[in-house]
Order: sequence, then C-alpha cells, then structure tokens
Amino acid sequence: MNLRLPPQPGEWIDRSRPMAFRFEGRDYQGYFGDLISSALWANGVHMQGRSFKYHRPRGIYSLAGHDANAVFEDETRTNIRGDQVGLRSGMDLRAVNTRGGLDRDRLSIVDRFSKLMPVGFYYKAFHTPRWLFPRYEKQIRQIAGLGAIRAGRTAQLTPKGYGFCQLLVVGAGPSGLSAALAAADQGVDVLLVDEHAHLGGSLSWQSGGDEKSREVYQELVNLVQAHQRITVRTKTQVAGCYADLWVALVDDVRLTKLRAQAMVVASGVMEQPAVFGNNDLPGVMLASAAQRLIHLYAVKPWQQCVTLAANSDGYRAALDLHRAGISVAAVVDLRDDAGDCYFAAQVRQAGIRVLMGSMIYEAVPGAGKRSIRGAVVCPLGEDGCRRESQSQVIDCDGIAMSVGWAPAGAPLYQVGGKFSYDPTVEQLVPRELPRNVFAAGRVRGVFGLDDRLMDGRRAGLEAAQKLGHGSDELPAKISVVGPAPSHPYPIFRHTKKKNFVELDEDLHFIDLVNAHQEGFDNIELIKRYSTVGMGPSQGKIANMNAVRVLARLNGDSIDQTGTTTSRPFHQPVPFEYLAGRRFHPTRRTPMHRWHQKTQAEFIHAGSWLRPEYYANAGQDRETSILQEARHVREYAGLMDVSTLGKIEVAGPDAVTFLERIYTGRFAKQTTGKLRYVLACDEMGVVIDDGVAVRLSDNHFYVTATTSGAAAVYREMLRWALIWDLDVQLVDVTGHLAAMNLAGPQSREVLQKLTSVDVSPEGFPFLGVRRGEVAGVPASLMRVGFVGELGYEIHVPAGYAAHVWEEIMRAGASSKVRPFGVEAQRLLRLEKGHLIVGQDTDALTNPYEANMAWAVARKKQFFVGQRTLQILNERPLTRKLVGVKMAPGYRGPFPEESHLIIEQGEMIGRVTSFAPQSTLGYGLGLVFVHPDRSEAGTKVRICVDRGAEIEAEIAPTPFYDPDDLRQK
Amino acid sequence: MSTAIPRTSPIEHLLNGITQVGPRQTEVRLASPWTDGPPDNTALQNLLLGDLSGSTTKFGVKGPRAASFLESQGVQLPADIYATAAYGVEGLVAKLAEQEYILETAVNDPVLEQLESGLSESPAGLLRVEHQEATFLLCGRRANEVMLQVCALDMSQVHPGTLVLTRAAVTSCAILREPWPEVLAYRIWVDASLAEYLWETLSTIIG
Repeated sequence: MNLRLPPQPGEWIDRSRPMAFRFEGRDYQGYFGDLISSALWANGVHMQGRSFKYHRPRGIYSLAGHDANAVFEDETRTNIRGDQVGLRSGMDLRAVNTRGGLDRDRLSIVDRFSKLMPVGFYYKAFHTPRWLFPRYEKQIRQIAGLGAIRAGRTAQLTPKGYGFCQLLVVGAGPSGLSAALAAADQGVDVLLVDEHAHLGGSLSWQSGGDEKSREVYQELVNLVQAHQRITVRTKTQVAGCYADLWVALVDDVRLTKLRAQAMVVASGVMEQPAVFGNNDLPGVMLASAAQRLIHLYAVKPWQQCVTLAANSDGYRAALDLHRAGISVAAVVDLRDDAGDCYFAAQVRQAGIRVLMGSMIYEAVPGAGKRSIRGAVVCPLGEDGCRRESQSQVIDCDGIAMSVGWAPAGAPLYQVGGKFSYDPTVEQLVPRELPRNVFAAGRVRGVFGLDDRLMDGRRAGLEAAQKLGHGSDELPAKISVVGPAPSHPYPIFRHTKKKNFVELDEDLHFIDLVNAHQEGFDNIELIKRYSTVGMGPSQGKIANMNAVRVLARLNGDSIDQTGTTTSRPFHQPVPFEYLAGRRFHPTRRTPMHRWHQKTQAEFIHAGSWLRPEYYANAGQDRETSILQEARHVREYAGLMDVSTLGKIEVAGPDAVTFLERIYTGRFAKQTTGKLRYVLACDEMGVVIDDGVAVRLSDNHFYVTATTSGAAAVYREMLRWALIWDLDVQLVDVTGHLAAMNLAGPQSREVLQKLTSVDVSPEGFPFLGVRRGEVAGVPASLMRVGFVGELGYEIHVPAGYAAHVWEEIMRAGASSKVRPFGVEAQRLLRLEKGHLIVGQDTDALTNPYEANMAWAVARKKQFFVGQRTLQILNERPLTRKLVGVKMAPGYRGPFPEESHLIIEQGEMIGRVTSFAPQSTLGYGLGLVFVHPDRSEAGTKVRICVDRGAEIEAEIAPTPFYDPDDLRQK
Repeated sequence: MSTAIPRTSPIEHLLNGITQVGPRQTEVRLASPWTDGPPDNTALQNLLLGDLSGSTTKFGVKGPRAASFLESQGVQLPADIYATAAYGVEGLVAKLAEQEYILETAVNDPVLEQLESGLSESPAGLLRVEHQEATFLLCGRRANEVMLQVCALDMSQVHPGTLVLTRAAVTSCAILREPWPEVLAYRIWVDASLAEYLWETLSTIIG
C-alpha cells in the first residue's frame, strides 16, 4: 500500500533521494527527510510497535516524540525512536519488546489477562513468599522492558562539547523566531535551537488552508537565516536545564553543555489525547500527528476519519485532512458551541458533518486490534455523561484527536519556574520565572498567530534589555481572550477498560481511580504507585490528563492538585552521549618510549604508567622480576623514578614550614645532605614519606610518594596559607625526571658520566651534589631504598631520555640493566622498608609502623603531634613486623591482606609478601598483635580457599641488617 | 647547560613523518591530516596542531626580586597577572603571579644562559623555577571547535595575549590566545608527563 501524497508545499522529504530500508524482515522505501515512522506509515505499516505491558498493537500517535509507541532496534543500537529519528538508507529495523516478531508477538496474549493485572499488581502479588521474589523478578524482567543492551557492542566515542551564548531561544516556531529576531536586532548574539529538522514550528504543519501563516513562516525564516547575530541549531533538543542557565543540548551527534546568559523559552505545547475506549490502537492519533504526516512527509494518514475536537485546532485539522483527500466522516465536538470560529465555518462550508456536544465512546477495533474500523459516537448529556441510547457507529479507519494542549514547559520548570492553571486557556502557564528567563507563545497560553508573534517580540526585547541592549520601553504582555484551546476534562469512563491515560505504561483510567481509592491521592504518590509519567515519554501526553483525573477525584482544582517534578532529561538521551569522549589522562615519564622499546610491561600507579618489569623471552613474570632484583644486588640496575613527587620549598620560613609539615627536624640539617621525612595528618596517621634535601639555608627540595605527591603539595599549599609563612612552594614533579642507579657497580658507572666526585669520601651516604651528568645539569642523591649503593639522579624532563640512554651506554660493560617497580618492591622488602599506602592504611600511626625514630617528639609543633603524644601513652594494638617462610617451603604463599589467625580470631594481616626473594625464601611485612610480634614467633596465615599455613615472625632488615652495602 | 644536548619534545616519537612548517619562523610540527606536504595558507587558516616543545624552552623565576631581576636583564614585563608581553621575535613573557614570571623563547636564545648565570649563586629573593611543560599550538579558523570539546571556558572570549590557567581534556593547562591578527591561535602549556595524552586527545578530535 502506498499512502504517499502528491508533493505538498514545504514538505520536508526529498523525493529525489529515495532510501531503501528493512523493517521486521521486509523491504520498504522512503525518502531522505522521512522519519522512520512516516516512511513506514507511507508504506502502509500502521502497526509499528507493541505496548510495554499488554503488548497491544500501537502505531503513530504524536509523531513528535511524545509517546513511545514506535521504538526500534537494529544490529548496533536499541530504543531508536521511530517518530524522532530520521530514516537512513540501509536501515534494518525491528520493533523492541516482542517475542517472535511484531506481527506474531507471543506475548500479545497478556492483553487478555489485563483484568488480572490491576494497578499495583506487582507490589501486591509478589511480596510473599519472599524467597520466590527473585524468580518473579526474573520472569517480569524478561517479559517487560524495551530494547536489550548488546554488551559486546564496540563502544562509540561520542564527542561532548561546551557551548556559550548570550541568548538561547528554545523553539523556532513563530514566537521563537520573533523573539530571536527582536533580540538580535538589538545587538544580542542569539542561539536559536529547535528539535525539528527545519524552522517554523507549528507554522510548518498546522495550516488549515490559512495562507497567511505560510507567508509569515517564509518571511520569518528568511529573516532569521539572513541575520548575522543568529546562530541556528536544528535537530537539537534542550534535554535538561540546570542552575545558572547551564543547558544540556542534544543533537544527533553529541551532548553540548551550554552556558547561556539569558533564555527565551518558546517551546510551544504538546497536544493531549482524549481518553476513550481503545484510544491507543493504530489509527487513533493526535490531530497534530496527522497534520505532520500530511504537510511534512506527504503521507496520507487514513482513507476516512472522524475528528474529535474541543477547539478551533480540531476544525483546522479537519480542513487539512479534507484538503489532503481524506474523507472526514464527522467532526465530533465535545463542546456545545464552537463560538465564532472561522475554521468551524469553513468545515461546515466544506460539507463536513459536525456533531456538537458529543464524544467518542470507543474506537471499534479492526482484525487483531491492528487497526480501527469505526468510532462509537454518543451525545453528551448536560451532566457530561454519554447518552448511550443515542450512540452511533461511524465507519472510519482513523480518529484524529484535538482536544487540548499542555505546555512544553520542562525547560522553565527545570530552571525553577512556577506554573499555575489559567482557566481562560485551561492550561498551566508560567507564573514566576527566574532571572534572565523568559517565556513566549503557546507555552505561555498565547495561541493566536499575531499574538504569538507579538509575544515573541516582547520576550526577545525583554531578554535584550536584561543583557544590556535595547531601550527601556517594552511592549505589554499579551492578554488572552476567546474560547479556551483546551478542554477541561476530555476523559471518559469505559465499561471494559482499555481507555488509556498513559500509553507508555499501559495505564487505564480505572487504574488511576483504583490507586486513588487505595489512598494514593497525591500527585507524586499516585505517579510512583501507578507509574503514570514514568515511561520513556516522561508523561508528555499523560501527565496533564492524570492531573485532571486526580483533581476531579479529590474535588480539588488543578492548582491544588499540582504537578509532578520535571527533572532532566526531558527526552531520552543515549548513554553514549552522556559518557561522551573518554578523558582519562595518563602520565608518562620522559623515558616511557625507551621502556616500551625494551619490552617493559606497564602498570598504572595513580595516573602514571610505570614499568612493572622488563619482559624477557621465555621467562615468566616472577622469574623476570627476581632476575632484575638479583642483578641489582650483584651488578647494577637503573630504575625510572620520575613519578616521585618533587617539591621545592624556599623562603625565610622554609625550615619552620617543613618542621610543621613533617615529623622530623630540619633546623640543623646540613646543606648538601638529605633526610628521610614522614608526614602525618591531624589524626597522627601516616600519609606520606620521602626525603628532604637542603640546597641552601632557605631552600629545600623534598620528594613525595608517587600516589601521594598531589595531595602532599595541596596540603602544603593549604598549610602555608593557614600559617601565613613566608615560603615559596613549587611542584616540579612533571618538570624533573629522576632515575635510581643502584648496585655495587653504580659508582663506577656514574663516575664515567660526571665530574662530581662520587667516591665514598667525596660523596657519602645521604649526601647531595649538584653537577652535570652526561652534559645535563643534575641533582645527585645518595639514597638506599633498595639496600645497595645507589644514586638518585634528578634532571630536567626534556633531557632525561638522553641521560638515561647515556647511563645505559656507559653501564654496558658493568652489566647495568633496567629494573621495574616489582623488583624495587622486592628489594625494599628485603630491607624491611615500608611503602606508605601499601604497608600502612588509613589508621596507621608511626609507632605501629616502627617509625617512632622518625618522630621528633620534642618539637614545638607538627601536624599530628598532639594525637601522637596521646597515642604514645597508650599500648600498641598492632605492630608492623617482618615475616618469613622456611627455606624450601613449597606450599601456597600468603598474599596482601591475608589474615593472621589465632584460635579462630584475627590477630593481624599481611601487608606485603614476596614468595621469592634473592635470599632464597619467601618474606614479607605483616601487622600483628604486639604480643605475637617477637622474632621467632610462629603465626598462622589464612590463605586462599581457607587453608592455613605457618610463617615465622622475623627481624628486619632481612637483607644486610647492618646496612653496610648501601653506605 | 651544554647546547650540544638536544632538548627532546615529550611527544618526539609521535612526530615522525608529520609535516613541518614554519608559520612564524619558529618551527611547528603538525599533526595529520596534512600529510601531503606543507599546508598552504588555507590549511593554516583552517586547523593546525603543532608542537613547539622541542624548539622552545622556558625559564621561570619567582620571588620578591623576580621583576627587578628580569628587568635588569633587559626583559620587558607585563604589568598584570596572566598578561603576556612579546619577547624578541618569537618569545613571550607571562606574569603568573605577583612575584612570578615565565619566559618562553627559542631553545638557542642566548638570553637563557645570561639568565641562568644570574641565578647561579642562588641570590636571596629569587627562586629559579624549573619549567619543562610541553608547548602546543592549536591554530586556524576551527580552533575554537576543538577547544569547545576539551575546555569548559569560552576561550574565544578571552582577550588575546591573556594567559588562562584552566583544564583541557581534564588536564591542568595554561592556554594563551595568541595576539596574532592573521590567524586564531592558542598556545597550550601542559605538564610534560601529560603531553602525549593531550596531543593524542587533540589529534583524535581533529580527526
């Protein structure tokens, strides 16, 4: 069946660009510019989806994204909105939420049991027995829902963006166009957005033969497109509005975070359905949808229809249908009097029957409820009830509903606007708006074309004035006169239900009545109990009718009843848009490329990438690590320690500052020497460690741990401000690279590259020297973290790769090789050195960690001092000690966080453990109860799968206990 | 420092095979899509991403005597914090704080040695600040489109010649809108350790 009309003036389709596509396994053709739904309807496909709960056939309803009847999926995407997404060539679509396809959906049987599933059915039916609920839940989840997520799908990087504008105008209908022009003429830069592909709003599709509207449309669009100060973004939704006019714009590519200085909302209205029997079946649609089909997509909605009207728009729609060649069997008007309506007169003049004071009781379903074949029409009595005895069936395959409108006011609600009900227009209209936010047009209850143009101009000028442009004199606000465009209660009971208030969630009128009877008499409560307005459409065509129903049930006014809260997002937004492009900064050292070339395996250390170890062909990870460690012990190794935090502290108060930040003393530290530093927080918890180098009387250079560097620097800045000390702080972490040359051969290697005297006498342990290494200015430090003779070499990052390569070259004859983080961890473990964050936790104080020697208790003050004084008076509850396995042990080894158990009670835990070491046995560090911390004590460690193994508390250092090698 | 040692850009390895051009005498290495030889002026106006890290160097100094020290070396300073002043043909000086300045110039500029020697004795009131940031140049008519995808500030509204400390692609950066009349250009300083990440991010966005 081909329902494509001859070319229509201003149609949005491009007939020169036909597009083939598939739906439910069948081939169809549409045109560029079609929506998926319009293309399907043009091909005679009226059933485009199944409903959420009862799996009832559904077709085009609003054709504006205000319902979720037509939701599709393809091989890569799901929940594609058929009435919003443009047709693309080659699409292969199917409806979501079916079993066995749209035509033969096996779950359509559920519709027959709808009486057994009243509102609140889930809450009442499945709460006992509780143990069965998971099964119920599983079944319900399988049956209900829309499209399925394909977990294996390749993630798409969607660019997110920021945007800025002086004035954002939302909606490009007559009011929005007028507002944009008025503001731009005053010198304001305007961003005009509209969700549709073309400008014009309702001027594009709501004609009724009114030639003036077309002329106005063309003139406005031409002016806007030619205006230098107006930027237009079509196919762009205002998905959410936040404080300070932070607006989320969503187009078909991305989400834009827009900052606007002012906003005019001319977003118009959303047509609302009437509630009558079978008002959900394919063939029943909003009149505006039928008009869109005709004017925008040149598609014939039906052959013969009945128009249900309660305003002049219904008559205008009847005229549009009539002119498009559709037989309009009758206009059924809910009102007794159409007033002085130009379009009503035109309808009568066209010979169309008009039934005043009448209603549609139900749509007569066609075969399989996939269409309708008539409308049961009844007169309304003075009491507003139907006169059943006078009912008649009018043959038709379509019903167009035009009974009222609700404001598309989400942007206004979300920025804090207040609405109240205006009985003049039977519509909620903005009562209070935040600063720099304005409303215009139908969203404000202004419906006449001339009035909307004036109202838009008024809003544009007001906005311009607020932004400092234009004159002080502003036009007065439009006062609304004439018949209300909306019916106060277009809702009718039906004896057999199926008169839907909410299509997304399959809610009948009686569901709301029952919920009310059960005590849910507040709009927010009834929403949550019945789920009205909680579907994908967010109640765009349901909420207003639900409010009207509840108001009548409570005997309240609409204002007393209130509305539910409008929260972002107003329209469904794909998750990929929210995720956006991934920004995960990764820091790399200057030697990263060298590490890569040398088969380094990398690990993440905070935001840094560090070589974990260097892979050797034919060797597993553990062997490679052990070999690197042995090499350092026997020859020399070079490690990239650029990730260490590096902070310069200078100024007259540098010493005072450091004495307060760290637990140790610095006043008597000799220039050219370094000291170990330990930092605690106010609770006495160890938060970081490193070394402090005294470069001159008032100049220090301190290092921090890789993961703690940023926090330490931040804390330093904070304390420097609080203490008001004359001290300069510079974080040079990324500016200086560092490398650790360690091992018995290290001195010999280094001496080849520097004129600094690196002899034991010239450069003793804990000494610091400045000089050139391989021609590059460097700071050299004698440190011993890994327990061997070692030098830390700090150089400017831009020259570090050169220095590294020169050391490797110079050390070739001395067998220098690189070693990674894991080898370093093993080597320091053999020395019993802790790593903050690894061997300490969020409660560890220096006494527990055997670091009392690093705390200068007699200092005047340092951060955490008071707490440590108190803790020092109390007995320890745990102690960090060494632990080792017997040489030759072959059983399962402990891992970090394994518990130490005694008589079923936890008495400690493992913080670090190396199953293999250069010493030939497994060793580690553990926290254990002080009573069990004596060297030689046997403890039992609970390892994986509940097995318990025996280990022995051992003194540290395990290796070179007299520290002879590092000196 | 011996000038024989080449200063290495942190993204040196990413630049192999990328077109090179000198829009303002200083060498600019360009990311794709200009792989078919040097871009003409149209391409330059359109969108270019360049790396100046290997050809420029920075000198930082802070302290109560920072301004007088630089002025004594013939460096003209900007008056306001975050303002910049031209230095020589290609260089610039920026005021980072009340008592802190940074100078960026060609890597072989003799003034660097002069400045370094002035600080060799660690005079009181002066602290030499190591600066090894990477320097990228994003320029062309579409540069703002790229900036709008990575930066929450409206850089197009920033006064040319003003340095902005902000975040680009969630990394801390200093961005200068160049006061060049002929082309829209942003100079981006980013920590050397994050240079590869930011370069790749910007390159991906450029496409």
